[in-house]
Amino acid sequence: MTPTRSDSLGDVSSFHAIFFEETDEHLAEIEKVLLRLDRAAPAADDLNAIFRAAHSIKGTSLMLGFSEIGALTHVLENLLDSLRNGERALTHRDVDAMLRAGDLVKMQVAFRKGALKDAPDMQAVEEELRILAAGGQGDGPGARERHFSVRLGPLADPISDAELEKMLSGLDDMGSVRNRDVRNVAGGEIRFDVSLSGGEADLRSVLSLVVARELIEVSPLDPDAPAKSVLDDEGLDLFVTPQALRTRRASDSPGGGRGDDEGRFGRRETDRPHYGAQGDASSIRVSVEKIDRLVNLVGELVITEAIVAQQYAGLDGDAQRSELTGLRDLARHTRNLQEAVMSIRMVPIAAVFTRFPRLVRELSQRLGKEVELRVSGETTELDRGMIEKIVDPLTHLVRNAVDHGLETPDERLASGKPRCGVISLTATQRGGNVVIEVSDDGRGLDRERIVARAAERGITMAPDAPEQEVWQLIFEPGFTTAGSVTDVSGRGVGMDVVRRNIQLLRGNVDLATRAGAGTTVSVSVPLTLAIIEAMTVGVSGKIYALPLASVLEVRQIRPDEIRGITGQGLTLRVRDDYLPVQRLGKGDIAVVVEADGARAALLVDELIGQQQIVVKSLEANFRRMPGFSGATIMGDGKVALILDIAHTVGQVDRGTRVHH
Amino acid sequence: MQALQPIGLETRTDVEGREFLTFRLGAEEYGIDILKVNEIRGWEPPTAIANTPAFIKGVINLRGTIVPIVDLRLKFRFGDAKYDAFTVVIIVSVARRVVGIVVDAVSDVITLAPQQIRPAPEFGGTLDTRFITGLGTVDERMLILADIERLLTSEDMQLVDSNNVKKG
Repeated sequence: MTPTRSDSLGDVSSFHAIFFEETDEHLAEIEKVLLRLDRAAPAADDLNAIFRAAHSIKGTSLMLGFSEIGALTHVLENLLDSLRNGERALTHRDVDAMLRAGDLVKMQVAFRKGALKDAPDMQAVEEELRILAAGGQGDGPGARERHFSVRLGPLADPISDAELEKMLSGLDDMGSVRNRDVRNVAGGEIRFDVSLSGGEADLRSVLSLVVARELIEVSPLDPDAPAKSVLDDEGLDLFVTPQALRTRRASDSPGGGRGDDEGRFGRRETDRPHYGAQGDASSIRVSVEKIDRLVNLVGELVITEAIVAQQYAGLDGDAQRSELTGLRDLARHTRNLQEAVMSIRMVPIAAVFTRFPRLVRELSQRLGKEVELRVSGETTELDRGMIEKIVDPLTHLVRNAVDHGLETPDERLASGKPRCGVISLTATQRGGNVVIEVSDDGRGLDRERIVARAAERGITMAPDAPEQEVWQLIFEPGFTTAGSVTDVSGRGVGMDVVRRNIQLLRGNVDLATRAGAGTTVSVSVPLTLAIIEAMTVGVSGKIYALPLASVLEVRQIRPDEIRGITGQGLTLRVRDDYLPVQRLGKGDIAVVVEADGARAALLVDELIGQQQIVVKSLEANFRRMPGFSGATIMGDGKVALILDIAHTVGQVDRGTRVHH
Repeated sequence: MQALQPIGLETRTDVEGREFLTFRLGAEEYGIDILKVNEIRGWEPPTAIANTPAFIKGVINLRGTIVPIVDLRLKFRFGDAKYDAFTVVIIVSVARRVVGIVVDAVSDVITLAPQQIRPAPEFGGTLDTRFITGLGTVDERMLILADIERLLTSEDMQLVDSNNVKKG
C-alpha cells in the first residue's frame, strides 16, 4: 500500500509529458483548421476551434511556467478575437502569422523536451500577431493592448444584474477585466480595470449601452505596468495545483461522455513517470465511437462464428475433418481478436481512485476527523463502461467509511487507536472479476444497534442469527444506523442503492466487519459488461442464459425431493440446506444459484450448454424488464434472454423467508 | 462540406409534399412518415418475454441489435392477428430507438401535397387523436396519418421506461 501523494508540486514534471502531448494535438488541430479556412468567409466554428485550442495551450503553459508559450498564445488569442468579432476580414497575412506562431510553439515544446538545442526566437512573430490583432496598422499606438481604469457612477438606480454581466463579459471578450469593485446599489459605483486592443472610444461606446454617458469615467493606466499584469492575472486565474488538475481530469472524464474527453481518459497514464519519455508515438487518440463500433463488429463475428460452428457440428465423417480444423482455428482467432479488442476499452481504475483524496480531505475537514487514505492497485484495469458506472457506488462507500466508519480523533484516542483513521482503497483482479475493497479501521458495525433498528422497521432477527445475516440488513432500503442525519450521509439512501447499482453491473457487494476494528466492503464487478460466461438452459421450448458466475451447481432431482411448506412455496434439500425453489419450467433439473448471499434452486427443463455470450442491451430499443438483465444472440441467430439472478432469487426469497 | 450545400434544399419537401408509407390495419388505411421507416421485413417468430402485454410479441435479432416487435393489430384489436408468409413487419426509427411493428399489409409509398392533408376531426377512429397528425386524401382513399414516434413512445405502448419518455 502506498499513501497517496500529498499536494506538493514535486511531481509537476509528470504533467509536462501530458502538456507536450496535448500541445502537439492542439497544434495539429490549429494547423488543420487554418489550412481549410475559407478566407472570404471563415466559419465561426473554425475560428472558435482555433481559439479553444490556443486557449488550452495558453492555460496549461502558464500553469506549468512556460511563459513564452503563454505569451505567444495570448497574442494569438487576441488576433483570433478580433477576427471572431468580425472587426476585420481574415487576410493571407493573418493565416501565415498564425501558422508561424504554431510552428514556434512546436519548436518551443521541442526545446523544452530537449529535442532542440536552442530556444526559438518568438519576438518577431509575437510582434506580427500583435500588429495584426490591432488592425494591421504597423507599430501604431493601437498595436498593443491598452489599459484603462473605469469608474461608473454614482448610479441613480442599480443596473440589472443581467445587463451588468453582459457588459462585463462583453468587455472580457474584447480584452480582460480586472480588479472589479462592484457596488451595484443606488448611489453606488462600479470600478474596474480593463485591458483591450480597441481604443477609448470603443470602450466608452460599450459602457454607454448600460450606463448614461455622463456617469462614465475612463482614464488610461500606465501602459507598461499592467501589460505585465495581464499575464499575471490570468496566470493566477488559471493556476491550479497538479493535484487539483489530476482530480479534475479524472472527474471530468467519466461523466463527460464527450468523445474527446473519453479519448483522453482512455490513455490517462499520469502515474507512470516514464510515460512519454521515449517518444511521441506511444499513444494515439481514438474516438470512443470507433472503438465501440469495433467491439460490436467483433461481437457479430463471434456470433457468426458460433453459427457456422453449429452448422458444421451437425455433420460428421472424414470429409469434414479439414473444415473442422479450419473452424477450430477460426474460433481461436476470433476469441483472440475479441480479447484484443476488449482490451482497448480497458482503463486503469486510477481514473476513479484519483477523485477520492480530494473527497476524503473535504469530508474529514467537514466532519472534524483525521483520515489517511491509502490506495493500492490503481493500475488494475476495468472496462471503460464499467469505470463510469462504479464511480457513484464507490463514492458512496468512501463517504460512508469517513462518516460512519471512522470515529472522531477523541473517540479513537479513548479506545487506544491513533488519532488518524485509515481508509484503504484496494483494487485487485481475480479471474474475470475486479474486486474493489473500501476498508476503514473504525468502529465496525454495531450488531445491537442494527438489530434494534431492524426491529423498529418490523424485521425481527433471531438472537443467534449468523453475523452475515445481520449485516445484510444494512442493505435493506431506507436502512440507516446513523445516530443523526448528517449532511454527508445517514438518510438511509445508501447501501441498498449501492447494492442495486452494483447488481445492475452483474456484480456483488460483500461486507465484513469487526466491532472496534473496522469494516471492509468489497465490491466485485466483472471486467467487462460486454461478454460473460453463461450457462444456457431450456424452459418450455425457449432458451435462457444464466450468468455462470452465479451458478453453484446443477443436479437432476427426483420429483419427491421437492417439498411444499404451507404458505411458503416449495423447498429443495441440497445437502444440509433447504433452498427455496422457483419452477421455471416443468422439468426436474435444478440449477442452484446464488446472489447477494442468498441461494435458490431454479427448476428448468433441460441443460443446453455453457458458452461465452455477448451481452446485448434490452433497453437500447426497448426497456428494462424485471427479471432479465439483458439478451444475447444464440448460434442460430435467435435471441435468448439473460436471467437476472439477483432478481429471481429475491423473488423466491421474499416468498419463503421467515422473519419470525 | 456544409458550404457547398445549395440553399433551400431542406425546404424542398415542404413545397412538393411529404412521402408516407401506407399500410392497412383492419379496414383502415394508415400512413406514416417515410423518413421514420428503416425497412420492411417478413414475419419471423420473436423471442417472447414474460410479463409483457400480448401486443408486445417479443424481441428479434436485427443484425446484432435487439429490437422489440409490437403487433398494432392486437394493440388496437383489429380482429384476429394471423402470422403467415404474408405478415409484414415495418422496422421504424423513433426517438433514437428501433422498433418493429406488425401490420396487416403494406400498401405503397404516397406523396401528399400540403393541400391533400386535412386536420383530423376530434371524434373518433381506433387511434387516439393525439397520435393522428391529419387525414390524407388520395383519389377516393382516406389515409389516417399517424405520428408513429408519439404513438410508440406513449406510455400505454409500454415500449419505453416511463421515465425515459421524451416530452412532446
